[in-house]
Amino acid sequence: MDSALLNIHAILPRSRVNGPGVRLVVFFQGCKRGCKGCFNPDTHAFEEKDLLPAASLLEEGRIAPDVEGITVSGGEPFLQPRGLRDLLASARALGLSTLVYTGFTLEELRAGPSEAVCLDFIDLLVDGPYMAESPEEKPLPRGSTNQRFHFLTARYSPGDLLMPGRSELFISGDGTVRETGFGSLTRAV
Amino acid sequence: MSFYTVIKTELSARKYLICALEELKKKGEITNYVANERKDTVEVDRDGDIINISKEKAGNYQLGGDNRVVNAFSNRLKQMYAYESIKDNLPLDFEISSETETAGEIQIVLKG
Repeated sequence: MDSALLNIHAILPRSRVNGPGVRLVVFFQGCKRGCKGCFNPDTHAFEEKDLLPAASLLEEGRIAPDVEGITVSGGEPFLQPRGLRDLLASARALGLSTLVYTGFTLEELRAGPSEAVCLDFIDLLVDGPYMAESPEEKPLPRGSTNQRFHFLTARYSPGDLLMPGRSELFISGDGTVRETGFGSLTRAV
Repeated sequence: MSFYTVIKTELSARKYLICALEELKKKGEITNYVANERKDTVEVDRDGDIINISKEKAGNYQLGGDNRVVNAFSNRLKQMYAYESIKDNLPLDFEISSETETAGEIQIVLKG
C-alpha cells in the first residue's frame, strides 16, 4: 500500500502517562490553533521535521513488547488526515489501541469527510483546545478540564483513564532528558 | 496535547557533579574521586584510569584523559548528573511515583 508521509515532531517508544497502559506516542508537527499557554510551541511550525511513511512508523522492532497502544499528540494530528488514517489503520492491524488528541471538537471532525474517516480507527479521542485557565489537576490524560474524553469503541472506559503520574522523565545513557505528560515540571537541568 | 520536551545536559553545577560522582562511587562504577575546591577540579579514579574534570571558560565542566575512557564515562556522568539535578529541583507539589532503569535509560514517573 502507498502510505502517506507524516511530518513528525517526535516519537516516544514507551510512556505511561499519555493514556491507558504503556503507549508509543507520536507527536505530529504543525498546528495553527495557537492556544495560549500551549505545552508544545515547538510543534506549531509547519516546517519539515522528520518525514516518515505512516505505515512504517509501527514496523517490527519499534513496538516494545509491553506497549498496548499508540497515542497521537502534537501539533494537530487532524491537519495530516491521510497520514493519520494510515497510521491508525496500521495500529489497528497490529491489535494496538488508539488514542488521539485534537484541538478540534468531535462535531467538527464528523463534519469533515477526511477527518471523519479517521474516527473509524480511534478508540479514545480527547478533543477541544487547551485552555490554560482551566488546568486539569487530577491524574487524567488531558491538559485542561474543557477537553472531553470520547470513548468511540468499547476498548476503554473512564476507569482506564487514571494515570500513575502527571509527568514522566526519561534520562538516556548520554544524559539527554525527555519530559512528557501534563502540568508543568521544573526545567532545572 | 501532552507536552514533550528535550533537554541536553551540561555539567554546569559543581553540587550535582559531586552528587553524581558520589552515586557512581556507591554503585561501584568508579573507584574514587578527589575534589580540589580551590582549583575547582576533580580527579576521578576509574579502576586505575584517571579522568580529570575541570571548568572551562564557558562555565561547564569538561573531562580530560584517555579518549576511550572519557567518552563512555562522560555520558554516564551526565546521566547521573541529570538524575541528581532533577531530584533536587522537583517542585514541592511533585513527588516521584516510580523509578526504573531499563536498557541504560532511567525512567521516572512523577505525581503532581
